[in-house]
Amino acid sequence: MSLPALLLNGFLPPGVHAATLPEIIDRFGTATPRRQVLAERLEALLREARATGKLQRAFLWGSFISDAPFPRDLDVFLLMQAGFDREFADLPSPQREVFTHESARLQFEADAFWATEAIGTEEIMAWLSVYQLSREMIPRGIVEVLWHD
Amino acid sequence: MIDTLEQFERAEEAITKMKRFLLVVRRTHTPEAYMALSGPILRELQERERDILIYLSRSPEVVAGHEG
Repeated sequence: MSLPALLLNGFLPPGVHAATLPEIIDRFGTATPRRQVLAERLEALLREARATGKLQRAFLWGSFISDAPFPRDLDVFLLMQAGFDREFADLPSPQREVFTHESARLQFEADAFWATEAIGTEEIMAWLSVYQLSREMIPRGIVEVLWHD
Repeated sequence: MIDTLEQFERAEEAITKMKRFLLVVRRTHTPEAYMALSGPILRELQERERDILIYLSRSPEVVAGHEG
Protein backbone atom coordinates (compact mmCIF):
# COMPACT_ATOMS: atom_id res chain seq x y z
CA MET A 1 0.00 0.00 0.00
CA SER A 2 1.51 3.32 -0.99
CA LEU A 3 0.72 6.85 -0.01
CA PRO A 4 -1.14 8.94 -2.59
CA ALA A 5 0.41 12.00 -4.16
CA LEU A 6 0.06 15.32 -2.38
CA LEU A 7 -2.61 17.68 -3.62
CA LEU A 8 -1.81 21.14 -5.00
CA ASN A 9 -2.65 22.55 -1.57
CA GLY A 10 0.31 20.62 -0.18
CA PHE A 11 -1.69 18.07 1.79
CA LEU A 12 -2.55 14.43 1.26
CA PRO A 13 -6.05 13.81 -0.11
CA PRO A 14 -8.67 13.70 2.68
CA GLY A 15 -8.96 10.37 4.42
CA VAL A 16 -6.86 8.08 6.62
CA HIS A 17 -3.96 6.66 4.61
CA ALA A 18 -2.18 3.59 5.95
CA ALA A 19 1.55 3.23 5.40
CA THR A 20 4.48 1.51 7.02
CA LEU A 21 7.05 3.60 8.84
CA PRO A 22 9.68 3.00 6.13
CA GLU A 23 7.18 4.19 3.52
CA ILE A 24 6.43 7.29 5.58
CA ILE A 25 10.12 8.04 6.09
CA ASP A 26 10.85 7.47 2.43
CA ARG A 27 8.11 9.89 1.40
CA PHE A 28 8.41 12.59 4.03
CA GLY A 29 11.67 12.13 5.87
CA THR A 30 14.45 12.61 3.35
CA ALA A 31 13.98 15.73 1.22
CA THR A 32 15.60 18.31 3.51
CA PRO A 33 17.89 18.18 6.53
CA ARG A 34 14.97 19.32 8.68
CA ARG A 35 12.84 16.45 7.45
CA GLN A 36 15.68 14.01 8.08
CA VAL A 37 15.92 15.21 11.67
CA LEU A 38 12.16 14.89 12.21
CA ALA A 39 12.20 11.43 10.66
CA GLU A 40 14.79 10.37 13.22
CA ARG A 41 12.65 11.87 15.98
CA LEU A 42 9.58 10.04 14.69
CA GLU A 43 11.40 6.71 14.58
CA ALA A 44 12.66 7.23 18.13
CA LEU A 45 9.25 8.27 19.44
CA LEU A 46 7.47 5.32 17.90
CA ARG A 47 10.22 2.95 19.02
CA GLU A 48 9.70 4.05 22.63
CA ALA A 49 5.91 3.94 22.32
CA ARG A 50 6.08 0.41 20.95
CA ALA A 51 8.52 -0.61 23.67
CA THR A 52 5.70 -0.19 26.17
CA GLY A 53 4.02 -3.18 24.56
CA LYS A 54 0.72 -1.27 24.72
CA LEU A 55 0.67 0.72 21.49
CA GLN A 56 -2.36 -0.18 19.41
CA ARG A 57 -2.43 2.44 16.67
CA ALA A 58 -0.45 5.53 15.69
CA PHE A 59 -1.52 8.42 13.48
CA LEU A 60 0.34 11.37 11.98
CA TRP A 61 -0.87 14.67 10.66
CA GLY A 62 0.38 18.22 10.25
CA SER A 63 3.28 19.78 8.42
CA PHE A 64 5.52 16.70 8.42
CA ILE A 65 3.16 14.90 6.06
CA SER A 66 2.70 17.98 3.88
CA ASP A 67 4.95 19.63 1.29
CA ALA A 68 6.38 22.08 3.84
CA PRO A 69 10.17 22.09 3.36
CA PHE A 70 10.77 22.97 7.01
CA PRO A 71 8.07 21.29 9.13
CA ARG A 72 7.88 22.83 12.57
CA ASP A 73 7.38 19.59 14.46
CA LEU A 74 5.63 16.22 14.51
CA ASP A 75 1.95 15.74 15.29
CA VAL A 76 1.18 12.27 16.57
CA PHE A 77 -1.76 10.49 18.14
CA LEU A 78 -1.03 7.26 20.00
CA LEU A 79 -3.87 4.93 20.84
CA MET A 80 -2.86 2.70 23.71
CA GLN A 81 -4.36 -0.48 25.15
CA ALA A 82 -7.08 -0.04 27.74
CA GLY A 83 -5.48 0.08 31.17
CA PHE A 84 -2.35 1.89 29.98
CA ASP A 85 -3.52 4.98 31.85
CA ARG A 86 -2.89 3.09 35.10
CA GLU A 87 0.61 2.11 34.03
CA PHE A 88 2.18 5.01 32.18
CA ALA A 89 3.37 6.81 35.31
CA ASP A 90 5.59 3.84 36.15
CA LEU A 91 7.21 3.58 32.76
CA PRO A 92 10.98 3.86 32.63
CA SER A 93 12.58 6.79 30.89
CA PRO A 94 12.60 7.45 27.95
CA GLN A 95 9.31 5.62 27.34
CA ARG A 96 7.55 7.83 29.84
CA GLU A 97 8.74 10.97 28.06
CA VAL A 98 6.62 10.06 25.05
CA PHE A 99 3.48 10.45 27.15
CA THR A 100 4.49 13.63 28.95
CA HIS A 101 3.81 16.54 26.66
CA GLU A 102 6.66 18.89 27.51
CA SER A 103 9.18 16.06 27.50
CA ALA A 104 7.88 14.80 24.17
CA ARG A 105 8.32 18.25 22.71
CA LEU A 106 11.87 18.49 24.00
CA GLN A 107 13.04 15.01 23.14
CA PHE A 108 11.09 14.23 20.01
CA GLU A 109 9.94 17.66 18.73
CA ALA A 110 6.45 16.22 18.81
CA ASP A 111 3.01 17.17 19.92
CA ALA A 112 2.25 13.67 21.13
CA PHE A 113 -1.44 13.22 21.88
CA TRP A 114 -2.56 9.95 23.39
CA ALA A 115 -5.46 8.10 24.92
CA THR A 116 -6.44 4.53 25.58
CA GLU A 117 -8.97 2.37 23.79
CA ALA A 118 -11.31 3.00 26.71
CA ILE A 119 -12.52 6.13 24.93
CA GLY A 120 -14.35 3.97 22.40
CA THR A 121 -14.44 3.81 18.63
CA GLU A 122 -16.81 6.76 18.20
CA GLU A 123 -14.49 9.16 20.00
CA ILE A 124 -11.47 7.86 18.13
CA MET A 125 -13.20 8.52 14.83
CA ALA A 126 -14.28 11.97 16.01
CA TRP A 127 -10.72 12.76 17.03
CA LEU A 128 -9.35 11.67 13.68
CA SER A 129 -11.95 13.76 11.87
CA VAL A 130 -10.78 16.88 13.73
CA TYR A 131 -7.29 16.46 12.36
CA GLN A 132 -8.49 15.84 8.84
CA LEU A 133 -8.98 19.60 8.74
CA SER A 134 -6.04 21.97 8.88
CA ARG A 135 -6.15 24.98 11.20
CA GLU A 136 -7.15 26.88 8.07
CA MET A 137 -10.07 24.43 7.79
CA ILE A 138 -8.70 22.83 4.63
CA PRO A 139 -9.68 19.13 4.32
CA ARG A 140 -6.54 16.98 4.32
CA GLY A 141 -5.42 13.42 4.79
CA ILE A 142 -3.76 11.91 7.82
CA VAL A 143 -1.58 8.80 8.02
CA GLU A 144 -1.93 5.67 10.12
CA VAL A 145 1.31 3.81 10.72
CA LEU A 146 1.13 0.14 9.75
CA TRP A 147 3.22 -2.47 11.52
CA HIS A 148 4.16 -5.73 9.89
CA ASP A 149 4.97 -7.76 12.98
CA MET B 1 -7.02 31.62 9.97
CA ILE B 2 -10.79 31.52 9.53
CA ASP B 3 -12.10 33.65 6.67
CA THR B 4 -15.56 32.33 5.84
CA LEU B 5 -18.75 31.29 7.60
CA GLU B 6 -18.22 27.73 6.38
CA GLN B 7 -14.75 27.64 7.93
CA PHE B 8 -16.17 29.11 11.13
CA GLU B 9 -18.80 26.38 11.33
CA ARG B 10 -16.19 23.68 10.71
CA ALA B 11 -13.98 25.16 13.41
CA GLU B 12 -16.88 25.21 15.88
CA GLU B 13 -17.65 21.59 15.09
CA ALA B 14 -14.01 20.60 15.61
CA ILE B 15 -13.88 22.38 18.96
CA THR B 16 -17.06 20.67 20.10
CA LYS B 17 -15.53 17.29 19.24
CA MET B 18 -12.34 18.11 21.12
CA LYS B 19 -14.26 19.15 24.22
CA ARG B 20 -16.38 16.01 24.09
CA PHE B 21 -13.20 13.96 23.69
CA LEU B 22 -11.80 15.53 26.85
CA LEU B 23 -14.99 14.79 28.78
CA VAL B 24 -14.87 11.14 27.71
CA VAL B 25 -11.19 10.85 28.57
CA ARG B 26 -11.78 12.40 31.98
CA ARG B 27 -14.48 9.83 32.65
CA THR B 28 -12.51 6.81 31.40
CA HIS B 29 -8.89 7.48 32.40
CA THR B 30 -7.13 7.87 35.72
CA PRO B 31 -6.75 11.43 37.05
CA GLU B 32 -2.99 11.29 36.55
CA ALA B 33 -3.35 10.19 32.95
CA TYR B 34 -5.99 12.82 32.32
CA MET B 35 -3.75 15.56 33.64
CA ALA B 36 -0.89 14.35 31.44
CA LEU B 37 -2.78 13.96 28.22
CA SER B 38 -5.23 16.84 28.45
CA GLY B 39 -2.54 19.55 28.51
CA PRO B 40 -1.75 19.63 24.79
CA ILE B 41 -5.42 19.26 23.90
CA LEU B 42 -6.37 22.21 26.10
CA ARG B 43 -3.61 24.27 24.56
CA GLU B 44 -4.80 23.45 21.08
CA LEU B 45 -8.38 24.24 22.08
CA GLN B 46 -7.22 27.62 23.26
CA GLU B 47 -5.50 28.31 19.94
CA ARG B 48 -8.52 27.20 17.93
CA GLU B 49 -10.89 29.28 20.04
CA ARG B 50 -8.62 32.24 19.47
CA ASP B 51 -8.95 31.70 15.72
CA ILE B 52 -12.72 31.83 16.12
CA LEU B 53 -12.62 34.98 18.23
CA ILE B 54 -10.42 36.67 15.65
CA TYR B 55 -12.98 35.79 12.97
CA LEU B 56 -15.85 37.06 15.11
CA SER B 57 -14.02 40.30 15.86
CA ARG B 58 -13.74 41.29 12.21
CA SER B 59 -15.95 43.99 10.77
CA PRO B 60 -18.83 42.99 8.47
CA GLU B 61 -17.05 44.61 5.52
CA VAL B 62 -13.94 42.47 5.97
CA VAL B 63 -15.98 39.28 6.36
CA ALA B 64 -18.10 40.13 3.31
CA GLY B 65 -14.92 40.57 1.29
CA HIS B 66 -13.81 37.02 2.09
CA GLU B 67 -17.28 35.56 1.54
CA GLY B 68 -17.31 37.10 -1.93
